[in-house]
Amino acid sequence: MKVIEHIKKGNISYVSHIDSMRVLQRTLIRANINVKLSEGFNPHPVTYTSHPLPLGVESEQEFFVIANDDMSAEQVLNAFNNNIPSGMLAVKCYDCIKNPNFAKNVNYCEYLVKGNFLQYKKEIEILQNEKSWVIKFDFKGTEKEQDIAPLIHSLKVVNKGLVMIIATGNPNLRPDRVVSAICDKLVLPQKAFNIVRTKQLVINNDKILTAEEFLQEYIK
Amino acid sequence: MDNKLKEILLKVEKPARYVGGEFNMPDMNKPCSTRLCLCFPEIYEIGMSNIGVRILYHLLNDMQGIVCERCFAPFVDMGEQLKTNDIPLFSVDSGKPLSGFDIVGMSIGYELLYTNVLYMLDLAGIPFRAKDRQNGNYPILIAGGPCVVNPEPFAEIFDAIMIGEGEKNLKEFTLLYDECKKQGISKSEFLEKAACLDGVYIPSKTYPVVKNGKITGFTCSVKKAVVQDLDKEYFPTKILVPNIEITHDRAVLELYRGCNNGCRFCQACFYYRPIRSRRLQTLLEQGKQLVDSTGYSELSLSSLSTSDYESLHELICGLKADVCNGNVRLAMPSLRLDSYKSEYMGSGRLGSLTFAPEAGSQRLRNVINKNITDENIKNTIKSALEYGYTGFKLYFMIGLPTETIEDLQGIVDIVLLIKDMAKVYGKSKRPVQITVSTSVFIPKPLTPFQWERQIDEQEMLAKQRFLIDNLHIKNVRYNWHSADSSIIEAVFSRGDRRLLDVIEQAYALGCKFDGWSERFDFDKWKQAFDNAGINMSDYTREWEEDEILPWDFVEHGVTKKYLLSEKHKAYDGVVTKACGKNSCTGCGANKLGRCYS
Ligand code: SF4
Ligand code: SF4
Repeated sequence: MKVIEHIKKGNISYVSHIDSMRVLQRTLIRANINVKLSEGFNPHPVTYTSHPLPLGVESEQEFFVIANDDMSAEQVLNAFNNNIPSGMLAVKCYDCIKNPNFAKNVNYCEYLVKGNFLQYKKEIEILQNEKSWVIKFDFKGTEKEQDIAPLIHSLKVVNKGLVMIIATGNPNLRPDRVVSAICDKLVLPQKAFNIVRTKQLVINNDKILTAEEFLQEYIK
Repeated sequence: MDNKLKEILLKVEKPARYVGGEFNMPDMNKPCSTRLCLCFPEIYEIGMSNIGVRILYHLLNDMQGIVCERCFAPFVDMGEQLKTNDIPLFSVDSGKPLSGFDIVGMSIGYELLYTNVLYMLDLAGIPFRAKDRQNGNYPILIAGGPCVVNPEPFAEIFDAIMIGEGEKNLKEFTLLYDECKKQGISKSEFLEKAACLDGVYIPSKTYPVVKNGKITGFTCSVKKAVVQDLDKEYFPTKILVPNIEITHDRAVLELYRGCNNGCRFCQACFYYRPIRSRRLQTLLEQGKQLVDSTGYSELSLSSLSTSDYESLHELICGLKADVCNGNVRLAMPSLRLDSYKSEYMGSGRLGSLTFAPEAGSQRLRNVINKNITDENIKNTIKSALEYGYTGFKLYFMIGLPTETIEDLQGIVDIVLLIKDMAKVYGKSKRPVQITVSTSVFIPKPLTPFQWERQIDEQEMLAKQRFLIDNLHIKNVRYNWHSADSSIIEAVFSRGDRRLLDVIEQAYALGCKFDGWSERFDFDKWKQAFDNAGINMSDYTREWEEDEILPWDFVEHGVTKKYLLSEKHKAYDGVVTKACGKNSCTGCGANKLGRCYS
């Protein structure tokens, strides 16, 4: 198994998760990276991704896992980077004993919302202690409600912007919804922010593991 | 990217249409003195499927000092957002507003895109008519694409129109512009010089002389630009690979240009002559490079009539052996019924066999010079059934010159023949599914039928009615192309300069994306013609053989005399054999370049 850690930055963040998966598959073909086929009636290359990134959100850390054992991690990294659109370049490749299953194990992500929030530092950071915080949003034409309080791990205002660690996967909280809810609370105008997924995290009880730390037990 | 744009991208469908970032994108930041933007007045998925646009985009970007970007018609939702937010239309590659380019080129593929040309200019904040852009720092606006066979309806929009093959005229035009720009030569002086290039039409210099509403001549003529050695001509092998699925999401090889069959309704056949092909070896190399550089799993062999390519068998075998490795499917979109060879159909599921006899009876096929006999049809059906095909898709035209009810009955008879033969030769237990599609004949410029009338709406509906009633057969489906939009297509394909008023009226009434049947609004078009005081029937009528036609100022190689003799042969029911290396039938195209060289 190879675990490719890659970015998704710039305009390519407007390419949906499903389309990105096709981009990745095609990259493997161009790069001549062999991927084992699944067994069964309709064999297809065995690949896994981490949690889908919402449209328009950039990322410094995405994972793409492929069933390949016949190349070194370095060879895969080079071949991949020569064949991927520049917005999705890989930063690292790990040789692993098995699929780390990011989609199941990663349960939080850290996002940076770029902008100057310093003057609201107190008001924003206190929001992470809310016991209940119900938001309404439009989902495919119907209005939905979600209590986001239990899904927020932390909110922190720094120089570059707002750093938030929120639930990802199941249950899932979309970063843009949090920002929009904060704007509502503080009566700020709604607008589109630059949001970047900066880290994928595995949090159990009070133990926080970064994706790299979590990966250690899988690395060959 | 500014926040306003970010916001609207999150509101519209498929924002990836507007932001580029595809693999194999050329360097947009290289040092350059001339920047072009190639526009395609349809959405990204359709525009990116166009092989002509792909060729020219890469060709220009491979030139020193030239950068070429792309822009497609934003879909309606995006168009509305751009308007309300006051964001001018921008290129996909670097997000630069269209008005900031040196040259903006529109590739116009068919008549129902004319309102979209205005739609894009409107969103870009560029005045529609060349004369209204004289004072002001606007890009030079040019057009190209198949519709330039008769550019008159849109001629006055553009500063220059590229007639013929872009590898030649667009390249020379761009080089000349670049030179003139460096020397500080004015736009009008540059256009003056450009008029001397082959295939460059400057509508403000070449125009029809009109007396009493009739064209009596032209101020000068324009010679179509023709690539002399197609085999040595540029062809991109590192092409863009879109990040979203597009209409034809595959690599494409272009085998040859022109077609030797000479079907009398077919504009492409005559426009793309002389007949020139790429060598087998060249195509094998290009095929390999294309597949390697894109990762596509489908390679399409494209030409007007691919099955007529001289070395098709060797090409297919060569590609299968060296390029496909079992992972790449070969697609051959235009295999003709008479040359259908089952061995080419190769691997993969067998679905429907597509073929286009165009007319139901032998008599009418002779008239239109579709050289397919009843015997060919029978043999094809037989081998397709034996090979395991379970469906047939048949394409016909209605309203062809001399057509009678017997010819329509002929369509029904072919369907019944398939049903009968399926009982004898069919391999599958399931009944064969047959789909019949008809389009309405359009008497297109530069064809032997250019003088013909188009049948009127009542006749169209009556013919469709006959087929609806008589194709009411189990497991047979009948699709027909709307009569209304065929009329608009006919009018604009044969139109003159007066029609720009109508296009402007139609756009003002809200017409755009007219090629999408659900968006096409015939009532608005009728209104537009009324507002402009123009009758559609002036353009769908039969034309006298000695009339000067709006597009007669273009030297296409193929002569009017030849087309006329073909028209007369049609009425005599005499066929003209496909021309060949040693059997030129004298169409005249070889005056502009050697056929079969
Ligand atoms: S075969 Fe006939 S219809 Fe097809 S491209 Fe040639 S001339 Fe046109
Ligand atoms: S010039 Fe002769 S060989 Fe060439 S396309 Fe015309 S008929 Fe065919």
